[in-house]
Amino acid sequence: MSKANILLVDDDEIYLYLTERLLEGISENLEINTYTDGEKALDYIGECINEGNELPGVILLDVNMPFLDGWGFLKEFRNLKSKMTTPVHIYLVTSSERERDKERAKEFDELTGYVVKPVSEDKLVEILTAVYENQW
Amino acid sequence: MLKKFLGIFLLLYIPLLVLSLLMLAGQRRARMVEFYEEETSVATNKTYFLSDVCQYLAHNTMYWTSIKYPVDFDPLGLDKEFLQPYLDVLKNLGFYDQFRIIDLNGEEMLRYQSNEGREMELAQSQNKVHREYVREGLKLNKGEVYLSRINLNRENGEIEQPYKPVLRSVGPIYDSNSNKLGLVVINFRMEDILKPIVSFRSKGNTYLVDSDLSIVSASTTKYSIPNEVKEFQDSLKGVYRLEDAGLQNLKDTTFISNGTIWSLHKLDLTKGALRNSAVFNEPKALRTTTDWAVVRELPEEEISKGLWPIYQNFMVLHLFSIVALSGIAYGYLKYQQTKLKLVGELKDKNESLLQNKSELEMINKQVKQSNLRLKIRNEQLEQFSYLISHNLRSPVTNMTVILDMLKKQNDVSGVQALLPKLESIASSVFNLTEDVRYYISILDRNEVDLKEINFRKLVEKVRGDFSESVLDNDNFKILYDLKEWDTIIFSKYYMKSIIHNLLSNAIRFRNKEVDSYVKFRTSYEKGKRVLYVEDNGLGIDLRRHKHNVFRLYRRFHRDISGKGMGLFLIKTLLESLDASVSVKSIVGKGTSFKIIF
Repeated sequence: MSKANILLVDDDEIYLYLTERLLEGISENLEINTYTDGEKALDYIGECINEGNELPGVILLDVNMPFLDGWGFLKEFRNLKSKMTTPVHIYLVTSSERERDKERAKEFDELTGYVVKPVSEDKLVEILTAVYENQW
Repeated sequence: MLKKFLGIFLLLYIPLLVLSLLMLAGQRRARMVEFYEEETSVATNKTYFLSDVCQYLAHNTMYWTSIKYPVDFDPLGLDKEFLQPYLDVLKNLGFYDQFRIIDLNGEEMLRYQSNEGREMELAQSQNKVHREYVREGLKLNKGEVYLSRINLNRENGEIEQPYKPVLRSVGPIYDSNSNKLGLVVINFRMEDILKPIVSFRSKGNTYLVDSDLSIVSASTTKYSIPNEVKEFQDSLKGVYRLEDAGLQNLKDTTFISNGTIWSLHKLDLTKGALRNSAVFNEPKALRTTTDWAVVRELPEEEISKGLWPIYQNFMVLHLFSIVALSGIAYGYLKYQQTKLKLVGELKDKNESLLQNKSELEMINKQVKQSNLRLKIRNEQLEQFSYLISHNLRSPVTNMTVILDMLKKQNDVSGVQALLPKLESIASSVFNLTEDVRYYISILDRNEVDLKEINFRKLVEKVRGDFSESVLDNDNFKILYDLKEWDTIIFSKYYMKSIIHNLLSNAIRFRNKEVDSYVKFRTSYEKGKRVLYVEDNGLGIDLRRHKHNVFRLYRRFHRDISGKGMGLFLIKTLLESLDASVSVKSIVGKGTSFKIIF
């Protein structure tokens, strides 16, 4: 069974380190990639599409990032969607509980969920279960 | 006040005066016409009366001429008996003064005359051949009667005393064979007849005149034929010269002369109140050597008396009008004064309202401006607080996760692996608080001190901050185009920070492939000062970053260090002083910032 491909996009490197550790603790059967901004993450997805590599099944996407933020990532991800052969579940992860962000998030069909930090182990299990239905 | 009052009063009064004067003239004219008609009527009626009297006297004379006298008539001799019954009648005719029969030689054949008791008695005959009435009488044909002038009776050439005005009526007499015997001459007493002619109850004077305007009788004197009265002749000439009044001949006329109305009406012996029954309807049957006319004189003072009620009414009307119009003028003036006062008060209030409105508008403008500033500031603060809360929350949440993980760690190596992360979190929190402190210090309004800034001097001063950088290298130039304006009133502290960040960005993001420059250019657009800061650096991909250029912690060039605070600060500082900033950029070509003050 191939590993579930998880993509973490956040400019907070400690968050990336901690979340990666938590995911590793949950399952060994996960392939985890991390990027510190949306621009790099998009490059990676583009690369997956172009080279026929497996696309991430789950993306935990931060909102506020330098170079290209979460919203910018979503807009450009939309343009790539037609070229994707497998579903990509994007969870918007943010420290903000601002209503404006929640409302804005509803405008993107690409989003599967909205998660407020801290992202606990239980929350990660819940996401993985929802996406992979115990197939991880 | 008095001048205005008189002005209003005269404005009302003058038209009324003109109108009433026209009415007065009309009324006066009408009254004068009435006077004319009245005087004409009185004179005409008098002539009718006298004409009737003359008709009567002539008729009376005809009685004596119609008798067929005996042949060789001898009134005092043989024919005394024939004449006696007629003479008996004569005795009772009180208006007869004399009754005479004169033969063809002018000798009186019979003479009766009234005595003091006005009784007719036989008198001594006289010769009257030289008298005018005898000469004229002898020329008469059968059926004709001659009436003499009215004058004072004379006996034996002397005017009889007391004065006795008489009119002599003469007619020819014939015998039974129609032979002319002589004349019958009757002296009629005219005193009682003349009196009602000249006496009149109404105002003014009446004159009876003959052909040469000699006064026969007048209401102004008790004497008839006054010009024959010797003792009055001289004075009368002066007083009763009717010619002087404009009366030249006996022609019917009514006119005004020297304020006196004169009306003359000539006697027509064929006309009178009884003319329908007149005997002498043939003018030639009644002969006279004179004409008579009745003259009416209405003196100026009588006319004035007659006109007085009109003047009186005029004066009463004007007295009343003056009082009424004075009241109206005063009332109107008061009304105008009150109106002016009210208008003045209204004007003052209006001006005050306008001033209040203007002040309110100014305050409103200031409030709007403050609101806009507050809105901008709110947005800035909201964005800032959002980012701060986000960036503060991140390390906290990370710590929470680390703590959970630490609780679950059984070996020391696992714990030691997590400790550097905690140090990193502490460092990031510290950096964040530094950013907040810097941001707040810049936004502190107490630091804002508006003053005139020489733009070039300030740029040159800021340039000094980059001494060790590429600015010393000839490959990077600072260019100026400050023709439009080179000074501005702004916060020097803010401006210094703005220039510093712009210069810093231009240097850090320069294109190393070309000779770099940053150009400060000024202009006026829509009356506002505009500053362009243009460089030929790396540029920003606005297609991707359009909405994030001026946001906090945004970076656009991965390989060049930076916190992503510079442009955020520039925008914050400019907007806090009502200025704005926008950007145009082409990747690889350069960036242009446009600042509108």
